[in-house]
Amino acid sequence: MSKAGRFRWLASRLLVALGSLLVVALAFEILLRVFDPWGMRYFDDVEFAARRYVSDPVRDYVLPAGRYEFSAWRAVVGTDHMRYVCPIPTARPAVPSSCWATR
Amino acid sequence: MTWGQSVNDEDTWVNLAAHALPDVHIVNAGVGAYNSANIRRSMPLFDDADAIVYLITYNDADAAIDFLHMGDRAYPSLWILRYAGYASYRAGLPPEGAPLATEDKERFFEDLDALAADPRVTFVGFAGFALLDEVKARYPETILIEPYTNSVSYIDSHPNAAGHRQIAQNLLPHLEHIREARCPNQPTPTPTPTTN
Repeated sequence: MSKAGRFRWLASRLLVALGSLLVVALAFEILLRVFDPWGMRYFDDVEFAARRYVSDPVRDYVLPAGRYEFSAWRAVVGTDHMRYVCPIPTARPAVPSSCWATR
Repeated sequence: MTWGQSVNDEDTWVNLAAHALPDVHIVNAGVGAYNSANIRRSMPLFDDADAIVYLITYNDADAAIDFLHMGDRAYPSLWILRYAGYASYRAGLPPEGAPLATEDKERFFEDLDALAADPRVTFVGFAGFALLDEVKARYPETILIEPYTNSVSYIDSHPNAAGHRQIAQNLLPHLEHIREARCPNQPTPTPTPTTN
């Protein structure tokens, strides 16, 4: 095989290897995003809350009143900056919408 | 933890306790990532509470996180890099049970001393953690309950809905006892759970 031929052979092998690596990485990326086996979304939730904290003269920081939709859960914070305690027995199948009103 | 990171409002242990004790006005004073200093500073807000339950968790002695000046975190867009970065971070963590920084420990126990001076306050914690063993040794009234076994994920060690049920179940007898002790003749006492 000539020198140029060897170079072409090597380049094609390198391209195949790089392509394979990219495909595997892409597959991993998709799998991690879909299944998130370690629960990486936790950091998104922490960041989501951290961006919304406001300074509080007594307690340092608090979440303002409102309804918060996190990655897979939700929270209602009252005007007293405390998380809502819903006075409905857990045996009920669903949380009535009235329970979600911000205090 | 008491705030209820990663679970819906109805699933927090505070909410479950409120359902189990309908004659008690229970509020959830927990805020994400609060440490003992935050809890101590919060106390004046609850002057009207008959009882205050402080669920101490293993990281309450840690230094406070300055959320207000964190700026935008630059997490990598690619999740492969996120996972690789976290794996690297995790590998570099000190082993569990590593001693706390002296200043953090001093601050923590100063906070607890101040809180313990209030007769309305009850410390609660999970058995099996070195920090809680030390708290129990200093404050024998501390209630140690079985730790929850259901957490959200490998990264998020907070209790999931089932974990909160475990906490509520283990804590309820003690909450009932606290109610009887603190409010023997009052129809609507006001315990206030609070933690980081």
